[in-house]
Amino acid sequence: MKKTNYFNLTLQMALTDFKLKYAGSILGYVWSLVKPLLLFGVLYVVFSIFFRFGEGAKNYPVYLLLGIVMWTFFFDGTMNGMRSIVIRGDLIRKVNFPKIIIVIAAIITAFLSFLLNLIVVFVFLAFSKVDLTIYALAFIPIIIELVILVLGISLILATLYTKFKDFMHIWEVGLQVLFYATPIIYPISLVPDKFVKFMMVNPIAQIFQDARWALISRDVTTSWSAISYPKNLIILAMVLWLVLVGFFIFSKSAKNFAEEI
Amino acid sequence: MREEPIIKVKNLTKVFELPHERYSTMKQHFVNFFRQKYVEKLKALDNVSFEIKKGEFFGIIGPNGSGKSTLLKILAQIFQPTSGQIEITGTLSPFIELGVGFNPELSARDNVFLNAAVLGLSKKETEDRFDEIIKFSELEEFVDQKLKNFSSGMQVRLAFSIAIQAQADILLVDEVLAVGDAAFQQKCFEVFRTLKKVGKTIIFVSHQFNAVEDFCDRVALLHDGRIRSIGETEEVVRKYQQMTLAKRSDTVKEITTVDKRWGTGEVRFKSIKIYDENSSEVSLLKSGQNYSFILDYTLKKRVDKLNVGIGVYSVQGAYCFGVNTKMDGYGLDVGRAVELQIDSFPLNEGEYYYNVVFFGDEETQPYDWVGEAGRFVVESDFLQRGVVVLKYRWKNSN
Repeated sequence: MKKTNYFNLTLQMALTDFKLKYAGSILGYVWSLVKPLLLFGVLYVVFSIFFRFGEGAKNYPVYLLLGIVMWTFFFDGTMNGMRSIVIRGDLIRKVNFPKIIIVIAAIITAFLSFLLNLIVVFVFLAFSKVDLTIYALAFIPIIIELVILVLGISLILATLYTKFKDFMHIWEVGLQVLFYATPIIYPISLVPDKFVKFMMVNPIAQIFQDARWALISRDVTTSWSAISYPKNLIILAMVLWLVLVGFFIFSKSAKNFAEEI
Repeated sequence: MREEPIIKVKNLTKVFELPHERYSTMKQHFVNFFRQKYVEKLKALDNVSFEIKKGEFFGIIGPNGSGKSTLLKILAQIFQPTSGQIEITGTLSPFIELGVGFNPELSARDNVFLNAAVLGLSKKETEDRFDEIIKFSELEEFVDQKLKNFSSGMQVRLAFSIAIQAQADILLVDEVLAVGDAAFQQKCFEVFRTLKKVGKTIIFVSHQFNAVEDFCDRVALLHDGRIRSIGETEEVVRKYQQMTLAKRSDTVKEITTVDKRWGTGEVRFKSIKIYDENSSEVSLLKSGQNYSFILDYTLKKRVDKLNVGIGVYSVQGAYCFGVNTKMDGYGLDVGRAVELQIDSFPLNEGEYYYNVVFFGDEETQPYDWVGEAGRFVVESDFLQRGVVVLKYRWKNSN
């Protein structure tokens, strides 16, 4: 196969999965907009009206929505990525191509939903009292960091999942833990000061808070304010380390996937 | 000038390690997690070497489980060889199986784009060839139908139409002709011929030798992971046929030697030869003629007493007759061949086999008892039915 056409294969695989995700449903793609909105609605009622988290953060509804949307991408991306190799086992056993395409395509599928969700976020931003500033441009490198993080984790999990199906369950629990360890539904201002530092070492927390900083308010706690430069660079190093480890173990095992799955 | 080979395979060996999954409970799994697992090693390919030249239509034949598909998958770089080298000059189509990546929930159109991407075509290339693909598949009316509504024949047609668009120098084809009807197979071969004309190399795997015979320039015969024969199609196919036949007679022999022969061993049966009245040896007998059966044997030990018996059965299983020297009270000279003369051979047309027994006093303690020691065929001019031919006449009775 010509190298240039791996791009087309990646794209076709991602688009196919995206189409299939909504095939047979009446609302189709609308679901990728409705789903996070419904989740947002539930969480908003519980945490803003009952628990009054909203008092701890400016523009809590947008804060919450952005968190949910980014979390959904992280969740779908790593889940799709982890299972992708096993799901495409049939293809792997019959055609030779770089296996990483499969993982990348799975993440692109999740990313397409993420882009649709972001439309909802920006509509919300427009209606709330938030003024988008030049800082909003920082959102782009932040998203790139998130994608790299998802790719790194997916590569590691996909490799492990071909050998041990247990990782499906392990990662489900892991995601559950991360969901609560990351300031998604609660504002970080509610967290006791002595924990904030530890909390912000988590790359997901750093990415989410930076995204809120870029789009919503300069007042949110970020790794810059909680850990301070240059110590906070360790988080970036973690993300890079994860993706490098991911590439390494994935490429080491990839040639045996056809025989193992 | 001799042309350089497009594919060079040298000392290729592939060993599969099949783990013995014997742990069933979670606890056992946990306990054995870090231990060495027991694996069974299966040698799928054993020191295989060959070369394929550009433009050849190369066949690989062999019985099921001989390693054909493993070889193809290693050539396609899907499996990693355990040892040995492969050199491939040029691009290789991943044409292992038709319709790889087809999804039943998608329309034919979407599946064309997906499958073409799997085969390495760009989006532009697929768009350019889309009409051609659909036209060849004769599915113009169904382009936007979901694939799950297609018959298997339609799916194969679509898959094949896409597959032939793969822009590679070498095509790998695995048993694709096992599916589809005769007309489709014909169409496949026409395409292969055209591809060959434009200088593509085709490697074709099959266990049906007629397809191989018709189209391959050269063939390799694979058996138990080794190349048993390689060369001109006709010669290799003949060897394959011989091999399959030999295998069948091997099993027959085995039964005879293992299950159908027993005894104390002082005397060993050698052969029975059948002679007609002109003393020429025959294996085709005629009802009503006179024959001599000469039984030959070897003496392994000295015996005082020797009796011989023969029982004849039809292949349908009927016990036709049985005679032995003890019942007849005939004393044999030990060491000399035995002759059994049968006048006016009484069996009707058909195939028969015989058991032979050599014994001393007791037939139940034979020196040598041989089941199905031999076979013969009988022809008949008698207009009679049944196993025997009778000397008889009709008469009006009062």
